[in-house]
Amino acid sequence: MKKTLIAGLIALTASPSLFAATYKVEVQNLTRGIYFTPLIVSAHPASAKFFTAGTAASSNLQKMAEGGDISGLSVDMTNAAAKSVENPAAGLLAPGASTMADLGDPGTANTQLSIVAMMLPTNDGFIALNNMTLPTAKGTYTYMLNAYDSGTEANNEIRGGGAPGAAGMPVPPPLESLVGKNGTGIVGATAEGFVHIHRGALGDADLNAGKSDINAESQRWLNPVARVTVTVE
Amino acid sequence: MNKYCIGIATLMTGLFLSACGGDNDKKAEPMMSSSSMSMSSSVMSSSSMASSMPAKMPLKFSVAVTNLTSGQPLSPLALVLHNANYKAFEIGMAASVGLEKLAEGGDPTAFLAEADANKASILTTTGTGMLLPGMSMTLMTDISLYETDIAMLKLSLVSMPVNTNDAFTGISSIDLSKLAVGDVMTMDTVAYDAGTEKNTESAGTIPGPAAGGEGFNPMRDDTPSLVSMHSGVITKDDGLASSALNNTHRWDNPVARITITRLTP
Repeated sequence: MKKTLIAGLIALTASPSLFAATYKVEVQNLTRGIYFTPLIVSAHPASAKFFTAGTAASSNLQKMAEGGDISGLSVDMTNAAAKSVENPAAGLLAPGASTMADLGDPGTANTQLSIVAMMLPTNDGFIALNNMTLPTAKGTYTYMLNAYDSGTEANNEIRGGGAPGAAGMPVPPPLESLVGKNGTGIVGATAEGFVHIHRGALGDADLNAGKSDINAESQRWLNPVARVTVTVE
Repeated sequence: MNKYCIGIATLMTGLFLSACGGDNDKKAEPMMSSSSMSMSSSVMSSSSMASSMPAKMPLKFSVAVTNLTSGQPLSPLALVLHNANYKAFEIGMAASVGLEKLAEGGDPTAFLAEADANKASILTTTGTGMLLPGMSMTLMTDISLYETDIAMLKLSLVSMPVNTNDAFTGISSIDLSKLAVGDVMTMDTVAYDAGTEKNTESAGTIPGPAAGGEGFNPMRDDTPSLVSMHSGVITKDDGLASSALNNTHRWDNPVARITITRLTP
């Protein structure tokens, strides 16, 4: 009782961020035909960001971007005493669909918000909100997210594996019937070596041959690719 | 306990004013009006009359739209002023037939008729002719609203980039209630896909000058049949041999810039 009162009095004279705010984070897939793998939504200290654009991806970011595996990033966040919600959509987030991650009160040290998920079908494309300072005043805030490339795998645009270092794209259901087959691969594609804004996919119109297994008509995109709505209560 | 402390913080700093919810707002309003009434006591009787039968207030907005694309004329602009009970479009939801007709053929008639038939709509208007690449056009709106309705006033505007199958651009339910006279609000729009026609890009399916093909067709053959962000056009220059489009018809977001200004009525 006494402790709460003191906290309240401090808050009167200091920043409003010291109040216990709770956060709900809604993520919507805005794309025509891209699926998002399980999301990780984390409130974390500024020192624990997922990546820095222009520099090499961590091996845990690579796992997420190439195969949708967020377990490594989850460990990173746990080690940083972050508060995370993992896989709020309980599987893939389909085009147009939304999901809600309830972060609750992340604590005063977790001032930043990050969200990532792999984009399917891509080689190592992912959506990201990176290390954004959480708003502290109550209200509703909207952010548009762009597509990034982790720079860890060549964008050959053909079927393959999701393990780090495995060439090609993982194709889980329901992508199995939506992604092409027997593509010869984009010539000259290489891993870029640094995280950057994705240049987009080429794709082609042939689902059974051609250079790419990505369907150019339905599985290309323009930014933004996701909308995040943060509600502070 | 927490609640108590937040309450004090509100009074002390005002930092949480927006967070206090409807209750405090309702308390604040009568306080303000009663103090203004006591300052001019002679007007009291007439102003109490007015509060039981409030007058409408005239509002005027100009809405300027610039086409930012290189080769996509925008179909006649369709503008709707409305309250919260109308939605021009929403990502993840199916397009209305009116929006389908606008996004496939560029004709705003059915879209505006749908809005007119909706009790939530306050005013609809349309631009004259195409808005060509690089060009700007300004629509003017004059309305009169009760104060309670101004608090819910929203603007939606849509238009088709005509060298596409079923793309549209625009804004949905932009809040105008906080715009004071003289205030200006500028926003960039992105391209959406109505989800009502497959993006074949073939000559027969694109109504714009690049192809002169068919506009509206009631068949919905796109998957998913939902409004989404547009993925852009491929064009024959980027490997889609059957496309009637070339590199000049490509675009990136944003597609248009919209500037809303509240004017003196």
